[in-house]
Amino acid sequence: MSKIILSMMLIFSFNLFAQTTPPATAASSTAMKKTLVSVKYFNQMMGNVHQNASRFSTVMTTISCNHPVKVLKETSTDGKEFMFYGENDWNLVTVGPYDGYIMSAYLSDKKNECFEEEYSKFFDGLELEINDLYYWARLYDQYTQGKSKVNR
Amino acid sequence: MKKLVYSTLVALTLQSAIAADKKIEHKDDHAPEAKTEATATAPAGDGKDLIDFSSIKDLIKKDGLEGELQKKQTEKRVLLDKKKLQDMKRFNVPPADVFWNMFSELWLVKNATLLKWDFHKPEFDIEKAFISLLEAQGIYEKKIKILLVDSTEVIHAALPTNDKEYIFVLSLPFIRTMDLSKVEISLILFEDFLRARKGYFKNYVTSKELESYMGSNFAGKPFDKKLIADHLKKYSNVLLVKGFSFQEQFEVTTEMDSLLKNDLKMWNTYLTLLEKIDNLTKTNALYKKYNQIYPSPELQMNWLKPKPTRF
Repeated sequence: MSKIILSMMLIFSFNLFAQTTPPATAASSTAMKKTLVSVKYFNQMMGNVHQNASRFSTVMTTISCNHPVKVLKETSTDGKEFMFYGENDWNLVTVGPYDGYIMSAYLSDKKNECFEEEYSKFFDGLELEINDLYYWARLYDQYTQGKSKVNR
Repeated sequence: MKKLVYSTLVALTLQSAIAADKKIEHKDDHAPEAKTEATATAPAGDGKDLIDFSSIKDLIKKDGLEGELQKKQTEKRVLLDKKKLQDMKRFNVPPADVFWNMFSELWLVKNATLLKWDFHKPEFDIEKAFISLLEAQGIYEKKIKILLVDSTEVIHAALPTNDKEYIFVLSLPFIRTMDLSKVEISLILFEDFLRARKGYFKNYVTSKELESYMGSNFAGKPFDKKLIADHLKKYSNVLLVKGFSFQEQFEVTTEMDSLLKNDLKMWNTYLTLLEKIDNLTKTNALYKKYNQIYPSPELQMNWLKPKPTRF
């Protein structure tokens, strides 16, 4: 009888332990430390900063070519570093007051030759409305892109 | 005694009165003196009459200050010219290789609601399949952008761009109705790629005015809004109404034939694809316009099929 009681107590204690200890992944995801990696520049005509690492997630703000963004990395409590998100093609960035995600392909280390800067009066002449600028930014979310490479 | 006191008092008041008078006289005497001093210094202050500049000129020449002044003036002139040039540059119209990419995107932006491309779409990985087809055909270093649209207004097309980058529009309802595979989609895009490379679309929408406008400078002139608006309409006309000619379709089909013949499986897929499109355009009213834009899948099949030999 005492054996049964002991084993029951042991099982109960294990269950209690399992309930009170959160999974390791959940614990690490809540305590991410963000650090600045570099400053990069947006290299398309218009684009969006997203809430999540997905082209269809909520748009936080819209930026234009050569807009500087702070690229961040996250470090979990167990020391793991995260710099790319989604399918490794998104960066976590700070743009003004927002922390959001931008596709890595749309960021350059150096300033770019931008259409709206190079042909500023022509661009002004197009008299694009806010609606047009919104759609131009969305266009770069909606494209699926690629490049054929030289066969080696 | 009283008399003595009085007389001394009178004498004292007289003395003080005389002294006060003298002071007033002194003050009056000083004023004209100041005036005369002022008139005397005035000619000394008028330096122009006195400084001999010719002697300083020689001195400046000896010091090289004149040369320095000239140098500063030319520097200023160069700076002003540079600024003027930079201001002028802002009025540049993009050259053809930049213009077409921007203009095609502008057309997409202006027709966003008609084409319905702003929607949540699944990841098909079409670009990967298409790129592998391009690489298999020996077409390298080409950037591709594919835009899936949720309408049948434009079924598929490659918009005018430069030779390094291609923009494709592809209808998702068309893909779903036809139940197209990635290889079949790649073949449709490849056909569009050949049309774009041959410059058919560009030839339809370009004009002499636009050609001369591209790469020019419109400083001092108003921006040609009408030219831009007219050419956006031409885009719509080609893609929604006019389409391509029989001759162009024949050229594209024969090129597809020769390029795909190395891979018989691919060639067969292309033939089957044309059959599928032909069936769709004949049976589904939604796609009746297709033959008007790309004439005609039936003829394309005939051009592809090997001709029976006489012997």
